[in-house]
Amino acid sequence: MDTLPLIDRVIHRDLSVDTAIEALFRSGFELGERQSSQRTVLDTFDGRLHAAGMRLEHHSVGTRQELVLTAAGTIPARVITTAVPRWATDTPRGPFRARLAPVVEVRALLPLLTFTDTWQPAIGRDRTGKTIVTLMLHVAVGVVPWSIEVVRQPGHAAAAQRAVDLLLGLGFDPVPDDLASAVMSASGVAAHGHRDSPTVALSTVQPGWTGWRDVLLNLAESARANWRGTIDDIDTEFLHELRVALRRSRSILGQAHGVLPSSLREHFGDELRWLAGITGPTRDLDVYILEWDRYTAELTDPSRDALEPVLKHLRDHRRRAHAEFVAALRSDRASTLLDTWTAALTALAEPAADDAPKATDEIGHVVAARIRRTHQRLLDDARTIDADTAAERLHELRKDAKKLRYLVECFGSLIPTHTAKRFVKQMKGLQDNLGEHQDAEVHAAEIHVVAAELSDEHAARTTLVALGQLSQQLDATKARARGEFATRLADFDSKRTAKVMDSMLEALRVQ
Amino acid sequence: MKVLATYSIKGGVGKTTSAVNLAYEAARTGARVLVWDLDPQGAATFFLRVKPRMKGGATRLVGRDGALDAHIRGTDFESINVVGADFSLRNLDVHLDDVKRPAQRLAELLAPLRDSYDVALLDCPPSISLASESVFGAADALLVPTIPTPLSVRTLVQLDNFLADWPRPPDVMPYVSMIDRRRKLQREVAAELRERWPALLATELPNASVVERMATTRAPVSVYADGTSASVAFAHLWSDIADRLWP
Repeated sequence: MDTLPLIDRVIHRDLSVDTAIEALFRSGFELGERQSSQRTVLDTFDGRLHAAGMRLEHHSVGTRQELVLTAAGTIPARVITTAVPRWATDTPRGPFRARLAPVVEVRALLPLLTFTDTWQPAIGRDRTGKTIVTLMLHVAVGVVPWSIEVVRQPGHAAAAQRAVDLLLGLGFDPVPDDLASAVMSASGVAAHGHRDSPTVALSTVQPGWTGWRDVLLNLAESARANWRGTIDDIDTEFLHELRVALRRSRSILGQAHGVLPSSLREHFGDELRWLAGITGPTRDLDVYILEWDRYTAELTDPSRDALEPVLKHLRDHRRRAHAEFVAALRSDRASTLLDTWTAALTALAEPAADDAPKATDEIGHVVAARIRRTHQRLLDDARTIDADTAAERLHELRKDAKKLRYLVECFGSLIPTHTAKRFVKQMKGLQDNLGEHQDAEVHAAEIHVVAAELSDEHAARTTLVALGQLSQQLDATKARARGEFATRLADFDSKRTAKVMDSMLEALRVQ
Repeated sequence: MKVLATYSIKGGVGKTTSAVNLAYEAARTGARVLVWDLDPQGAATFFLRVKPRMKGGATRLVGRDGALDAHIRGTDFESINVVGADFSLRNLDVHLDDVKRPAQRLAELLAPLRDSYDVALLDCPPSISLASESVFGAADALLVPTIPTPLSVRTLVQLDNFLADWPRPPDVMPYVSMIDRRRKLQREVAAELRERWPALLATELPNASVVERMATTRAPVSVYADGTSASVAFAHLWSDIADRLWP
């Protein structure tokens, strides 16, 4: 497409709308009807659409509702709707959803902002009556001054330039952002959403205890950010992110011996373990339901249909588990935990040397030693695993792998980004394998519970038979994961990984 | 981006009216659409009110340094863009013959626009030629309007036979076009088509005078005759196609 003027929107602080309309009319623009839209900007909690360079808006004009999906450099997509969508799957099936769903995935679409836009189009046409440029006059928006947007028309750069020249000649000034961005900015709404990152800025030479404190404070903030959404059950990612923040916190705290005071480690270690423990049942069921299509993909259509009561049971279990979990989250013990934890970290002074002898060592050295030891222990344990090893040992290995990964991620600012990323990538194959095995193990156990319930309820024989098939699928998944373990471990327990590990340790020890 | 081509070996079967109306219906269901008029007659270009002029002509477009984006034009519909046709396309075969891998050339020209559009709709001239082969190399699906007459059905069979030897052929989605249900022969041929071609799309396009009016209104049928049987049929036909593309 040809290059068009960068100016998209212009404002004039003195000129009245009527005077501008008169000038546009005299210049040959055809003025359309003035209308009011209620516009709602939608995005996920973590701003996935914004990060992908997209904006989704719901427009309501009278009884007509439409969804508008825009992205820089492309024409907008519009589709009629009957309601504000909560999920990507609420949008009409077809090209619109196909574009939205891979970005949004399982996250809910949340209204970031709603505003009323009173607008009037002014259309420039050529001699055949074809539209060559459109000016949208946003005559009343409320929190921002009235403005005109120049709507780009591919292949008609000259017409757009003439329109821009006309507006600049009338004394309009270009503004850098589009209308919705300006309204969001004026209303104090951040378009980028909330992103959880375990990494905080650290220096390799700062004392160990301050680095540990900063990492833990950042993780506490991540847990806090996802607390409300977990209770309100907005989408499954809130609980997932809360659990990740708690697991990372426990893991980093568990690696803080000799760096942080033992009283702090022991008390909050216990409390965080308790909190993380109550999040487990709901998340296990979330994963089961999210993975349902994959688990049942290889079953026949009649078998899948026969399993509908099972899925319903899982959803019922999930509802009950979440209700119990929320009740626990609302307890005094849970609701004050993050505050007391944050307060304890914030008030932390340099620990006594006899309790925490490594507290004032340079953090790079302390982290390097802990990464090296955790890595070695992981390899030592992994090398003893064979086909007869109990499933629990694999689960323990999975936890150890996470501990290593969390150290690398949380202290990632001390390591060159590409080195840390390479190491995490090297770990991924092994972690995915252990995760698949563990999920199938947990879900197979859940199947037995559901099977017993359905049997008590005299469920249809077809359902029980299909349940048996599903159980076989899960056993096959476990067996496949066990079968692939040795290969995945060999990929990780390799010279290549050792080389990346050496680079990381070297970077951490550099002063 | 899904690449579709309204294609038939036979002329006068409703390819261009289908391309323009399906583009409009696709845009109404949330697609960003690029119509690429490959027919030197430039009827789709005309219907969408775009000037029939390509800078440098077909030579430059399909040449080594050619690019589609310089030829893209806006229309009266904000979600539909057009690459218009002019008379230089009458020699498209000759120009394609001059480039390396001519059967891939149209696909190569479309590739940089993959993220800019959801649907590219190629309106093809009636023939089976090197240009057609380049269309087969680019298209995910061929939309084949078929008038329920023995001659029209014969060209569908010819196309099917030709594609049987084609490496990775596009999906063929034939549909009944311009049917006059008052005619017994057409009703019988349509029924036979449905039996013989399981891939036949469910919707039949009627032979309606309201479609002919596109030449004077220069707009898709639903713009000036929304709710008529032709307008509804185009909407349903797009829905049939979309169900196959995005199941």
